[in-house]
Amino acid sequence: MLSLNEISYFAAETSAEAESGIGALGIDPFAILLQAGTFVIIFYLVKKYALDKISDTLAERRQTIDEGLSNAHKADQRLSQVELEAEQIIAKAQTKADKFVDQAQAESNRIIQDAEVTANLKAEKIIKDANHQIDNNRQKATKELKAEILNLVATATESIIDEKIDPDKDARLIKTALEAK
Amino acid sequence: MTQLSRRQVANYVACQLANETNNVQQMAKQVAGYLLATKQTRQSQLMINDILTALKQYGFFFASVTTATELNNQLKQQINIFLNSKTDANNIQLEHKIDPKIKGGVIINTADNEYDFSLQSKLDRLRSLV
Repeated sequence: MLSLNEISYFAAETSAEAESGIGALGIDPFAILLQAGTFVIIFYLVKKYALDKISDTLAERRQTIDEGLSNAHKADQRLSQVELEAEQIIAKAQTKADKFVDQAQAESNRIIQDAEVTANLKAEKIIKDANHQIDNNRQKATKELKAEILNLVATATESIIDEKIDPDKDARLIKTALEAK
Repeated sequence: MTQLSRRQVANYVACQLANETNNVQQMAKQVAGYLLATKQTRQSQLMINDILTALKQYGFFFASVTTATELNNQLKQQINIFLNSKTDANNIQLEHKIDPKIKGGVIINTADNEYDFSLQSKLDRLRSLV
């Protein structure tokens, strides 16, 4: 194996010789060859020890990314599906809610109508009872007034009879009563 | 002693009075004795009414007339005419009583009827409406 000094020496020799041919153009074939060899060696080393791993890592990354994208796509699809389902659920819920609202409205209307009917019936009954009570009071008052008047008439008539009746009037009274029968 | 019905006794008494076999006082005593003996004194008024009713069969009619004042003959005649129209009796005998409480008019009581034309009853009827 050549040492580094020997290689440098050999390169200087070669360079000195080359200055007479291609070296006159400033191109050193040995350097090119050396660089190429170095590149090949480095490439080999890199390929052997790092490139596969890097490639594997990149493949894994790519797979991971692909899986991530796939999952993201699936997630998007799932999200879309969920959103669709959510919209459907919301629509159903809205329909049910509307139905419940309609039912509640109808029920409240019915309750209000029933309450109005009941209130009207109660009001009519109260008015009827009041009128009945008024009639009863009126009849009672009329009856009491009539009784009072009759009592007064009877008392007054009795007083007048006690003062005014005499045999002649009594005789006329008896005669009239007998003839009437 | 055989128990006779009140109606039978009344018919017997009426027959006796109508035929004038016995006078009124004698018959009254007999009837009173009979009622005592049969312990029917509580039915004396009913017996009298039965006798008066039985006497109607013989043309006798008794009536009690109550007025507040004296009755004149014209009124008595009027009462006779009234009772005759009601009973067809020929021999009507009136018993007159004066009762100022009736205030006016007349009350005629017979064995089976009462004709009340008094002012007091009219006032009572008026008060009964109260």
